[in-house]
Amino acid sequence: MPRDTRFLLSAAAILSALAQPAVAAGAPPGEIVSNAMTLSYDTGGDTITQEEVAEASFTVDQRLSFTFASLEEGGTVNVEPGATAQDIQLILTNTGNEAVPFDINVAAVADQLGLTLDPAGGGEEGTYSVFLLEEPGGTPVAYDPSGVVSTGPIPADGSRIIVIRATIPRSAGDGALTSFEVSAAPLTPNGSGTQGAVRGQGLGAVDIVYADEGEDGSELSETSYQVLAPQLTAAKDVVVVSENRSGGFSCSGGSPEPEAEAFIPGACIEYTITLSNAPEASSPATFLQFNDTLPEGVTFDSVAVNNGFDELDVEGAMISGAVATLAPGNSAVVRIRATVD
Amino acid sequence: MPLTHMTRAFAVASLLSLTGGAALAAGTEPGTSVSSTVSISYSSGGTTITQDEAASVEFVVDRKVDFSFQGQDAGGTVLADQGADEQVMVFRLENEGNDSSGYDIDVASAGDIGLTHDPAGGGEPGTYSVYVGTESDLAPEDAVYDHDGTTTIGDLPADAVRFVKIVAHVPGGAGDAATDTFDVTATALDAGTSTVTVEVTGQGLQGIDTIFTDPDEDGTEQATERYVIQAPQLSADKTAAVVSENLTGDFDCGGGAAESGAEAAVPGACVEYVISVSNAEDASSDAVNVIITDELPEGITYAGIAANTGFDAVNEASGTVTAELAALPPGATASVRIRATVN
Repeated sequence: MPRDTRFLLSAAAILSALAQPAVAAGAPPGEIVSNAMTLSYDTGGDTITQEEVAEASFTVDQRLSFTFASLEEGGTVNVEPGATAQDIQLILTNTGNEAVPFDINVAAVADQLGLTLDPAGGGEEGTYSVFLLEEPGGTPVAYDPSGVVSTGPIPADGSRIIVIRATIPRSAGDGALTSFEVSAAPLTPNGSGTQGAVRGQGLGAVDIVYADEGEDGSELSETSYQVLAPQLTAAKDVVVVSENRSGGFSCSGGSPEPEAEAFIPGACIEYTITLSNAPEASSPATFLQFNDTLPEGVTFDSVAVNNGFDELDVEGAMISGAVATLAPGNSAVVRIRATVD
Repeated sequence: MPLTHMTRAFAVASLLSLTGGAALAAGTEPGTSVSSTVSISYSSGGTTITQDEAASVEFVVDRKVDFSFQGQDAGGTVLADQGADEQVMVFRLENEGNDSSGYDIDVASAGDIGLTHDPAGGGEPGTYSVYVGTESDLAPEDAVYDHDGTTTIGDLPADAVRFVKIVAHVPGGAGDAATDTFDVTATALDAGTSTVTVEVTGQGLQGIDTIFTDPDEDGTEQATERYVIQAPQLSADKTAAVVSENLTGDFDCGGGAAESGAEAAVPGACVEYVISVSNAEDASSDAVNVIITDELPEGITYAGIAANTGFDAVNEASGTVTAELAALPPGATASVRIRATVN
């Protein structure tokens, strides 16, 4: 029986950085991790040492990991009709251990605004475009989300800001909503196709393993534009104030005559124009104006009532009025008298 | 931003649809649709949102039945001479409504001239007829109109004018100041018919109401004029008196002064006829071309003219004395004294 035979094992880890320095995301894939063993024993009063008596090595595999999140609070951007350069920002962060290009796809869902993609970033009304920024505040570069298009490699621990920039249609109604589902998927190093998982490569080769949430190599973020607008309605009606059969009625100051109903030449009539912002509207109407040109067949006489307009202007048959702010639930009314030709 | 500044960027929208014709002085045609639209704009997202035709309202012009009917003769009176032909009384009818309209004319006359209606316009003395034309003066092309019953004079477009003329043929026997009063009424008829127009209301913004706006607001207007005969009121007087009994046979009957106490129209006596013609002070007109013809009776022989007061000329031929006067005004008298001797 050997006497006092004792193995003395000391393990030493050696790291050889083949590509880049180590990052928080971990060692880069392809790095070979070797582990050799030294054996010594006593014999005959000596200590016998055998360096590197045994060795084991493996290759670091690729961990495909990334996060994709909206930077907008509540996932919603409030916009006004007609507003330009309305941005939804998302951030894509490569949390894997290798630089990876990504494909970004954008789909408008529940698209009440009817936004259409303009890959060139022209900014026309009713369009949206996608831009990439290296960092917040960086220079936006137009990105076409159609099909498979590479963002270019995003280094491990690196990020890209994805901006959806829209010009809201002027016709957009209060409360209208368009949601964007934005997805990111890693691409092969040359950016030509989706990078699938690779397994079974053994210790000596590089496996590629999904480690994103859901471990499926795709992340989805949803963010919405929501329109905040006044809900304006305009109403116009006309009544006969006086048939003025005798020709003696003062259209500008006369009290309405009951029973007056016939629009005969010489009759005094009254148009009522009412502008209202609905109580449930999201925002006031600002710099609200109306314009009304009396048609042929009637001649302007006077403004009988102004209730709520800051300014009224009459030039010939053209009547215009303006109110600086019409809050939800408020109305402005003007009554205009005219005679039938 | 000042509001006035915004006005410049302000879109103007106005819609006009005239389905009828152009406006007339009398007004827009009934049935014309008058539509007007209001546009609004407001500021949003750094731009101006405009809503054209944000609201509109439309009404249809209603039918206004309006006309005037007025006599055209000064003082509402036509002065007519006895026996005068074609004495014309003129009434002016103007369609002041906004649509074509026909009219029925009715005439009621009364008075001591006693003119009677001749629908055919025959022109017999003592009759009158009614004519309608486009000019105030009587013209050959004027159509005779029978005012009995409800008969249209034809349609008058809006703003058109017609003249209704009563043409009278005054009887020669009409006395001075004799008067016939004519009440003439015009009643609106629906165009192209003999149906009296009635008011229609309650048709709403899109229907056509019919409204009377003639002065009486009833679709009927009346005007009154009268004929007044203008004539002298002549009276003649003739007296005879003995100027001189001429018992001595030497009295100058043609020029001698009347002798007081003379009274016996004995043969050889000188007698004087005083003939006077007067036009009454209240007569309406001068007596014109007054001529007196006095044929001296048998038994006397013309001796001379002792006096002529007022006649332009007095002549005698073969025992007939003629006195002439161009005009004898109301209140004036002309007289002549004719002397003759008793055979």
